Amino acid sequence: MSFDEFLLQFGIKEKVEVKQIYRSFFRVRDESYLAHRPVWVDECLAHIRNGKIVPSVDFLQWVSKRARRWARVGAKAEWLFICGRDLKSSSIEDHNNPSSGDFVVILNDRRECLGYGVASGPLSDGKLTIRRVFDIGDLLRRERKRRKV
Amino acid sequence: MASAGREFFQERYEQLGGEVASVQITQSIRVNTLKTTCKELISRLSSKGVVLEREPLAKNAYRVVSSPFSLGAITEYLLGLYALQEVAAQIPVEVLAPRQGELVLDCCAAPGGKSSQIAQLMKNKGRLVCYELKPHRLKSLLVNLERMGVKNAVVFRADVSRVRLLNKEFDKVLVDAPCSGNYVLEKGWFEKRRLEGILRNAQIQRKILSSAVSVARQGGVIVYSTCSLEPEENELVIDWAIRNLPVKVVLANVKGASPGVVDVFGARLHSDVSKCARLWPHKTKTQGFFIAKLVKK
Repeated sequence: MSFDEFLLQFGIKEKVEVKQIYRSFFRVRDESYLAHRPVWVDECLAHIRNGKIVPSVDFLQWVSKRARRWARVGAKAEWLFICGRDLKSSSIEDHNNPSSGDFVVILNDRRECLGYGVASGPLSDGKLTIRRVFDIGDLLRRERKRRKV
Repeated sequence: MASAGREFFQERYEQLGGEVASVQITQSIRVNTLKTTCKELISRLSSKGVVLEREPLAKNAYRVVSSPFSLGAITEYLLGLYALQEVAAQIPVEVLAPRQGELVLDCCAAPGGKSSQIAQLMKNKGRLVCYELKPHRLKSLLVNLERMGVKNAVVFRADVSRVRLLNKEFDKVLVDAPCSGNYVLEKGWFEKRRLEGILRNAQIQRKILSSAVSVARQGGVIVYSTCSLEPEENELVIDWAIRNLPVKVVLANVKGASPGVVDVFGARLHSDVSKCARLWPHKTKTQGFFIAKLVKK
């Protein structure tokens, strides 16, 4: 998956200038350090994992402000979602009518993005369920997985 | 004579004017002012039942009085609105006082608490260069930089001695050196540590400090810190630096801290060592820490 393809999932056509360093993408302001083979430069936007792109926490917020489809959840569902659960229709408080298969960013009451998923049925009567693809709890799981090694 | 065990270390600390005390350190957070304000975060966390109290030892530090849940897994933490960082560990960067637009080096950067604090004080402006040698510690550093929204850092997985290859002169350098730790942080610390290990650390610490000084600009500030209470890793390193490196010690000026010890087990150190700050757990109710502020001549 390319970086552009990742953004297109959310309906974002805006081009973002990125530099790939190992398995991560960065927005680089100063290229003079690149010759010394750093593992991180400036602003981290995303990582490649299992052939897919997962965004950084801050870039996720950038994506959520531009994404075509969103759903908002309450406090309890917020907690379950960042623990890696899918969202049931009863836990979704508001949304802007995504169709089945759409990528949907998940927002909390403060409109902070918690991650994203794929909309699935039943969509009749506006009822929406969302299969989790990525959530910000991934940061902890990533670090803990590493610690066990 | 045994060179390990509780009695051995207790006797050493008493000779230095300290003691071994049962100190329960409370969890502290550092508000990430790159993403929020203290007022906003306190109000947000208190609405969830978290009780915080201002921690006078550091600027953006709050002591966690009580919390109905773990503060290391909630949305606010994952969004990087705060870091879990013991208050004593927040002091070295405050002593370094990095500013916007400066070129700053963090010599032993993982797990990234102090690196993100440096970026925070720099308001993400200027350049922060981080070195971390140990691959297994690098992941924590990168995750922390990402979570805290650090956007002015460049990170190298390498020994800090390679910093010379960058051909830069740094305004500020933090040497938070790898050390033997202290008994407050680690259960069974007295049984795990021996004097030989401490002396080995001291050799590495001198090497790192030497690299740090060599790339600081003239008049640049170098802060050397450890979370060790052992003089071999602290005062003796600074005494060696005064005598062998182009640096002078300036007053670290840390609230509640004791001065660096100049009489160490019968040896008289350079009087400027007393300008360093030593945090004895029984006095500050924090973990043990040592902080020295040096200026390159």
